[in-house]
Amino acid sequence: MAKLIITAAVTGGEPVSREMTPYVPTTPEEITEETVRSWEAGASIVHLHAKEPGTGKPAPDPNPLLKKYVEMIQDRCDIITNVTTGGGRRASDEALDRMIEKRCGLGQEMMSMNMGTINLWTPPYSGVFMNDVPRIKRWAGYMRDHGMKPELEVYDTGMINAAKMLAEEGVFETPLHIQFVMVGRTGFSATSKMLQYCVEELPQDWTWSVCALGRAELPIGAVAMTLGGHVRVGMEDNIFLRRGELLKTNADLVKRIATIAEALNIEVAKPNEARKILGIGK
Amino acid sequence: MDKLIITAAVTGGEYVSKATTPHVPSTTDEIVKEVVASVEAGASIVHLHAKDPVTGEAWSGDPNPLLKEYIERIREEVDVVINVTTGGGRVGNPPEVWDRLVEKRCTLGQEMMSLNMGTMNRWAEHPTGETFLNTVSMIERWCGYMVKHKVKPEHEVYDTGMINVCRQLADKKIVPEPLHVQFVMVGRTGFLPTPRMLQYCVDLLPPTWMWSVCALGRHEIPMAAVATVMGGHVRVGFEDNVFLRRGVLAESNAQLVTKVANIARELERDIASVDEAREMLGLRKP
Repeated sequence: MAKLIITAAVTGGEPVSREMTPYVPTTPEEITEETVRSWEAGASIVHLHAKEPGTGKPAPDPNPLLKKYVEMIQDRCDIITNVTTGGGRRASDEALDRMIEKRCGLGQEMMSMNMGTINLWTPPYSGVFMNDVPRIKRWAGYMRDHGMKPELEVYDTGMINAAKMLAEEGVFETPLHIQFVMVGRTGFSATSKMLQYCVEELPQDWTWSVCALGRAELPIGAVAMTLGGHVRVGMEDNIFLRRGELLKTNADLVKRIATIAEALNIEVAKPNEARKILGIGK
Repeated sequence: MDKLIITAAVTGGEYVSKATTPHVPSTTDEIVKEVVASVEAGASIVHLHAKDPVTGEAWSGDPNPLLKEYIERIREEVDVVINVTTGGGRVGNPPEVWDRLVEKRCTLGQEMMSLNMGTMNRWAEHPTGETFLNTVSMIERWCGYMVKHKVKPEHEVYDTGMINVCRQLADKKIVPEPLHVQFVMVGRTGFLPTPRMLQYCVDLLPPTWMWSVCALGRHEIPMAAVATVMGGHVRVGFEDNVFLRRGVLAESNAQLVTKVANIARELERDIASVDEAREMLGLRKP
């Protein structure tokens, strides 16, 4: 079995702000500190969203902040930086395209790509998470041009089909790396049966990881590593260390997942080992 | 095992027109004729979209008057459960207009209406663009209209997350249980039409719920056979598939109904009559 790649999604992403937990990092310094701690605990990838300092809400102009995070993190450790394609979505389609194209040149090694459109899983449930196929193709082109390794974020089974279809069309280079994002409600149920279904749909040489929301995060992480997959943890998906106890640092969740791996005799990958597994920097 | 309910989706829906097959019905007379023949072949439910009488494309204006005409004419000719789409009337109209059209559509005299259970990328080219938009709030409102007008919803599910949404509708008591779910296996951006996918889905449903499956193109008949064995129900017809066999266009929907009825007979699964289907679905005779 390949070594385990642990991704730390340290920033809380779009839904988690200071209103939900006082421990979510919001300034570049806090985000860098959380990243270094997570790296020390065993994370080989950090997944980054741009946060408004102080509130922890999504920053309206993500690129300058993301650039700063990437630079500050790379000064401190050799973790793989993986930048979201989320944020800035109030812009027009064309302006958003330009923003994403520009975002491919911030010095990171990976970028996430949402593989389809789905109803939002968070209140008030009237919203749509819009990722149409032409947009996926355009953004995949920007990533290819800039040598970015895409992480395909998949929220339901049809998006696996879309990933395979676009790989066959040559939109993506294979083997691909998939992140199963198990959000429940309007998307994947966070169950081992669902995960097993999904994994069996992937070509043998693709790599995959899973993240599940809330209390499903660690159990599904344990299932994933026994199936030979990789795991993402962090405040973007779960803000609790255990029932009723808020997570004070992302590193504590990384430690828990690394401890589970150690108990299962699964070795945790260092960043350079993760690069090799993912085919980054060839 | 329950008797098999066969739904005939005779009109070709939103993706099939005269350009796809000359055999798709497009006038009211043609649609009624296809319905009668499908019922004779074993269908107990007919699923209807409004069609342009000349081109056979989805009717671009308000579908309600045409649907009303179909329903009245079908009622004169044959006894069948009528299931009307909530699609159509979307092009060029904002979602508020869809709401009004759908609420009014609940009163045309049909027993059932289909309800798309989520938003997704389109799996084929469509005049409304890349996104098949069905937000949770739309679903909840439209389901409310149906319940208010005593029309039974058929919950059309295109991927696993939409099964979760069905359960949430039931948990919130927006619709009374048991629900009737149609697994629409479109591939590409939605469900793969495979036995493994279907088994996964069926295992998630409460045991009292009913389910049916329709799969596109050459997967239609094989997936119907799988559903027949598993105790589910099936939908066939030009909306999902225009071929009788490889390279041979079906000349009528009834040919496709006959094909699945024959498979059911060979498997010794009885086919439900129209009244039996009504009883199973908890519908009143109109």
